[in-house]
Order: sequence, then C-alpha cells, then structure tokens
Amino acid sequence: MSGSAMPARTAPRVAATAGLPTAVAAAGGALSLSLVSSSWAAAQVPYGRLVAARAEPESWLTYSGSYFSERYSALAEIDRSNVARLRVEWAYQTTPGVVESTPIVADGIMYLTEPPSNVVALDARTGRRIWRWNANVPDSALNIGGARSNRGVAILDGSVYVGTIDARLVALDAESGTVRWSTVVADNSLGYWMSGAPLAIDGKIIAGISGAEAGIRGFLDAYDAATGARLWRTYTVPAPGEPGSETWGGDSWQHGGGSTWLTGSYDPDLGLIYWGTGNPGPDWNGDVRPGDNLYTCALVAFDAETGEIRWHFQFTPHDTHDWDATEIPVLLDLEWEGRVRELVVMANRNAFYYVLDRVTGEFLHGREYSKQTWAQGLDERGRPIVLPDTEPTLEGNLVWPSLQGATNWMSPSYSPLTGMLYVPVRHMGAVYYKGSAEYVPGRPYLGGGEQAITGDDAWGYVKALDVRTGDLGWERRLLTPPWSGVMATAGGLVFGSSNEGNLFALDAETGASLWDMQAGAPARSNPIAFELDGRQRVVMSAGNVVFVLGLP
Amino acid sequence: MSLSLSHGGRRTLSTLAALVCVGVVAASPARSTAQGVASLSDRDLESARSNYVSICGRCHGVEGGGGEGPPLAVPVLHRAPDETSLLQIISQGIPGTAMYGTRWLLPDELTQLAAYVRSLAPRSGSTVETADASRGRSLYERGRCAACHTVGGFGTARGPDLTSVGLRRGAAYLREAVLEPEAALPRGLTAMPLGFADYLMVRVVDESGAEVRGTRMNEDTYTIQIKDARGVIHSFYKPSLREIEKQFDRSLMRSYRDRFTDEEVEDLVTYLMSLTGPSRRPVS
Repeated sequence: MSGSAMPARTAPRVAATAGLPTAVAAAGGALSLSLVSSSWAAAQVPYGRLVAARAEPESWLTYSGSYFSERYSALAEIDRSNVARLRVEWAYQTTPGVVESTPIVADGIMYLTEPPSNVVALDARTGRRIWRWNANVPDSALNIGGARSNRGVAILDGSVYVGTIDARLVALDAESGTVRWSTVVADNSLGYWMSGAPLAIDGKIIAGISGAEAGIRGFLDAYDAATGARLWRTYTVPAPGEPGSETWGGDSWQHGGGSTWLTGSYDPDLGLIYWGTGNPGPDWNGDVRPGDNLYTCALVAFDAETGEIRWHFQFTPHDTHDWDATEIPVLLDLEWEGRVRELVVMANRNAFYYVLDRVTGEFLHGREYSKQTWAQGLDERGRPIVLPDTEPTLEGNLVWPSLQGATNWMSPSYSPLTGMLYVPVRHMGAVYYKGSAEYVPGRPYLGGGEQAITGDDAWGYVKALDVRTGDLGWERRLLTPPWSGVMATAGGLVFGSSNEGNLFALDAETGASLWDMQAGAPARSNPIAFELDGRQRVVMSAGNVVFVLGLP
Repeated sequence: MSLSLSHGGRRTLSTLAALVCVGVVAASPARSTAQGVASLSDRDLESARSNYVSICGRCHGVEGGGGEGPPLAVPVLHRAPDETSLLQIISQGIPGTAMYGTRWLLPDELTQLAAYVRSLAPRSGSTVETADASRGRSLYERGRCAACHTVGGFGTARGPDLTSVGLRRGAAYLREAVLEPEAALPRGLTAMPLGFADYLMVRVVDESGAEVRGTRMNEDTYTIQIKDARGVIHSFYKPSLREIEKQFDRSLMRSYRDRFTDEEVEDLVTYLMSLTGPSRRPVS
C-alpha cells in the first residue's frame, strides 16, 4: 500500500478490508510519517482488488498483472529519460535452482516461489525474508517433460496459493506461511504435476496441470478458496460420447495430454476463463491418435461458475511438434472494423499470431510472426494449411520452429500507449524424430525426440507486433533464444532479459536499448513492477537471484 | 570404475552393444548377476536409444555432439567421470542448470541409459599401429604448436588448452583439426554459451573507426570479448560498435596438410591422444 502517495485509491481499499485487523489501514498512516521504518500486516487481497488490479499499479496482484494479462505497469516514474540511471535496490537469493517465478507484491510484502515449489514472503523494501514454507517435495516426485521449478503463487483475501511438483494445491496463511489446507489435485505417480501459478477469482482458485509427456488426460480445476474442496473439473480431452470425442481414434483419448500448465486469463463481466491447452500425447508420434485431438493445442473459454466449455479455438490440430497453446491469452477491448470488440490475442508457440473474438471464439485475424516452415498459412477460419513432409520422421526432419516454439511460457506484454504486443521470440529450428510410443503409467509418453539447432545458428528477439494485425513494428535481436518474458510500462519502456544474463530496458516505440545490466546468470522469468515509498521498482531475476531495481 | 577408452577399431553396432553390456555391469556392480550381459537384448539397446533420443537428445544432440547442453560424445565426461556420478546426474539432474533429473526411469533403464551415454564416446585412438607418440611430441615442437596451445600450463593460450585433449576428443576429430581446422570450430571450451563456436574469428570496428581482430572469448546480447593476436582481451559494448563481422569459415589455426606427411599427422594425433590430464606429484 503506498499510503499518502495514492489517496484516491486508499479509501476504497480500507473499505474493502473492513472487519480485518486495523493494522492494514494503519500501515498507510505509518508510512506517511516515516519512510525508513514502517509496519505491514500480511496482505489482504479481496476479489474486488483483483478485479480492479489495473487501478492499483503500486501492487502486482496476479500472475500476469491483471485478469486481462497485459503484463503492463501503469507506473511511469522510471521512463525513457531516466532509465539509464536504474540500479539494484536489493537482491534476494533463493534456494538452489533457477527462478522462474513471477512475484506477487501486495501491501509491502513480496510473495515468491522458490525451486522446486517452496514459497517465501519478503519485505518488499529490503528483501529480508518474513517466512518460508517448504513444500517438502519428495525426491521421487515426477516432473516428466519439464524442469523442477515453479512460476508463482496466487493471492486471495489472506491466503496465498501454490501448486507443487507432486500435484498438491496448497493454501497458506499470508501472514505466517502456515498451511490452511492442502488438496491432492491428481496422482503424481501417474505423471501429473504442477508448476504454474494458480488463478484466484471470486471465492475460487483455478488450477491447471502438467503431464502430457507422461500421457495424462488434462483438465482444468476450480477449488473453493476457503476449504480446498473441488468445485468443478473439466477435462481438456473429451471422453467417448462427449463433444469432440470424434477427434480421437480408439482409446487414445485416455492418454491424450492437453495439459493446462500456464496461468490463463479471466473476464469477470463475461464470467469466462481463458486457458490455453498443451500438446496431445504422445508428442511426436501422432499415429496412435488419428484426428484433430480436441481440445489440445487450443484456447478454451470455460464458464467460471460451472467449468463448462463455452467455446474453443484450436491453433494446431493434430499437433506432432509439441507446440502447446498454453501461452498467455491477452484480453483487449479494441476498435475492430468500426466497433469496439472484446478480443483475445495470442502469439502462439506454432509461430502464428491470432486475434479472436473472446465472446464467441470467432477467428478474426492471424499471421506468421516468426520463421516457420510447417504451414502455408491460415485459412479463413484460422486453421493452418499444413505443408507436406513436415512431420517427425525416423531419420529426422528439420522444421521451424523448434519444439520450444517461436515463443513459450515466458510472458508477452501489451502497452495501451503504443498498441503493440511485445513478444519474446525464439528464432530456432529443430530436427524432429519419430519413435514408438507405448503408454506405461508414470513414464514418458513421447514417441520420438528432437534436436534443436543451437549456437550461432539460433537466436532470439523481442518483437513489437501491431496488436490488431500482428505486423512487425520493430524487433530487437538477442544473442540466444530467450526464456524470459517482457513487461511494458507507462514510462514508455519494455523491460526484458536474456538467456546470457542481460537485464535490459527498451524504448517501447522504437526498440532502442536504453539500459542494460549483466546479472551473471541466465534469466528465466517475467518482469513485474511495483511502487513502495512513492518510488517505482522493477523486479527481474537471473539464475537464483531476484533483483529489485529502482532509480537512485 | 568407468568405461575406459577402447583403442583401435571403429565403433560398430556390435561393439556398441558390447559396450552397453559392459556399462550395465559396471554401473551396477551389486546387481551384476541380476542384470547380466545375457539380459541386454536388442530391445534394451533400442529402449536405451529411444530414451536417449527423446530425453537427452534435445539438449545434448541425438549423436551426443552437444547443443544447448554439453556434448556427451567425448571420452570422459567432466561432471561424470565415474558411473556413480553419471547415474546421479541422469536421475537427479544438476541443480541450478537446465539439466533435470529423470526420476521416472526404472533402475534398469537408468543403467542402460548411462551405458548408452558412455557408448557415445569416440572409440579410436590412433588408426595406424606404427604411429608413435614420442615422434608426435617432437612434431608438436617442430610445428610450433605451443605458440598457440598450452599443455600442462606451458605454451601460449591463443587456442584451446590441450592438457587433457585425449580425454575430450577422439582421433578423427583431432585429425580433422590438424588438417582442416576451419571445418569445425570447437565448442564447449570457452565461456561462450553452450552450442556456440569457440575461437571464432571476429573483426570489429569501434566508434573511433579503429579495427580490432581476434577470437571471440565470450559474448552476450550486449557485449563481446575478443582476444587479439598478442593475447590482449578487448571488451566491447556492441550497441556502440560500427561493425562486427563473424568469420565462421575461418580458423586462427593454419592447416598442417602441407607441412606434415600423413604418417607425421598420425604421430601427432597419437601424441595428442596420450594427453590425459595434468601430472600430479604423488603424496610424499
């Protein structure tokens, strides 16, 4: 809470927390008296604050910054004129591993996950730890197909929510880190696991699952935020007789994948949750699963109350290159052919950019945004026109993009100031191999392999795409294909980082680099911003170190 | 124990299968009777290769040549010099790196996979029985190799250190490096991110118009470090450079094709293969 600096926002906040300890309200007053010492209470983030997150840029309340997932900060203190003076305010070293976590910052506390699934609460002013919850993930826990890391928590009211490698969803008391409830989401011994940040909505925690590489049957779940009881589960692979089941041959649906491993978006007015789904199983051998394999590699709109699928759009039917569509769906209300339309856009792993109507799922526009060699283009309904000889083969077949895709889990960012969607892009091809695939519980279910083209023959970009057309505004080349996201700010900047450890700020209009710093280890996380003591901070990570940056 | 270098003879499918068997026994001495040679069928070999391709190949290369991860087709793996450490790394991963563990593998599969990784190592030492390491050592001196290379800390470090090159490279690789050095620049030796060419020749023109030539020692999105012919390191901020040219088809090293006979090349390669690490003073 930034106290006197934001009087207009303070009033409704206090009202929203009525009935809770008065220390919450008092903290703002204490801050205005002294900037060198203050007292915080644990964050209290009612649903109303989450809905209005964009009106509270001093906080970072949900994974992608708001339910619309723009990952845009309205803070403007750090701008093009002064960013060159940016310096490290504090650093925090997590337990060993690589930080992929997006921090949540609320009321002076930063909530962060550490590898593999632990949670810490830090004093956002100094980085000093307030508490740590150790998930005690057993060494035997399975995480087939991904690294033992975690992408962040969700916060709602006075609880912090995390999914663990061994597929537990856990609610922690935000003040102490003690467990309020812990629910087993699925059987980890079958390859179900969790690394994505949950999404908190009104009284519910929405949680996705990983494990398509082990032949799971994917789903999206909603849990009662207070008790941990499951409210609904919707499978992303339909059972026989259900709509879409005709897109699966034989029993292949049983191990059809369709993971939901990254955090989706939410439109409170429409009551729809937008969540991307991953690849069908097995990854590279599609012979055992003839058909389009709905709802894999798709964007699915779920009714938030019931979990019912209201619409879907499949980007890559019958995928055989592991091009998950779990990328962040960004929700926008934009003028489109003469009227304001509710849109959802996605820069997909398959190298195409898509604009959809988010009420109906109608395909409005799409185009290639990165090198690809597998499709001639998209037809009028957005379905790819697949080129021949682009399947994985026994001898290996070179196709662009690589398995890791033209982009991946790292977040894009949308700036309303420029109308650009900023996308971290991996310019990389791969040789895809096809192999046999036999389902064995708790084992890899891959059906082949891949060898990416690396070194001097692959590189990365931050690309600025016109959000309506997907046309390239500018691109900034990176030495290696990145694994870290970007964040645009009202200061006219785009923050990002590189796989070689460069943290940087680009001019959002031109892509010109205005600040950079070598952080000493690969960066693999998404930037955020918050404000404390009336000063903007930017958070970026590299290796297992979280850096909080600010102006002197 | 680890699988030692097998000198003489090229790798064939049958020797590969034999090595896999040896690897399994070596990797699980306590179970050597339970997991004997007889039980390693073609199917086990196929399973090991299948696991390798789908799990390891993505980063380490389908043939072990490396990529985003380090090459595994080397005589000795630095992080896994023995079977215990290899099994540990494959099953548990390496914290703080992209190397994740394969906790789901069954014990037999794990040992088979480890053996398969070992089998990727180059097998041949010298190709001609008459080749002689001591003659090779004289050639190393006559060829002035030490003007650019170091062995045991002596020489000049313009190019790769060769102190343990016999553990790192096979004869075929070394022969090509001597005869056709520009054909394939080494990887994984300098501080460059994995997969990038080491000792890449670079020419830059700085803000003042001054030109610097040398080999790339490291690079990131914003900076590049170049070592010139005198051994001086130049560090440049790339956005301020006027020009940066990477010469992928060149090598700092000249070919010895016209300077050594075929026999001499084999002697030199044999000498290089005998370089297996720094000498250590025994405990007194």
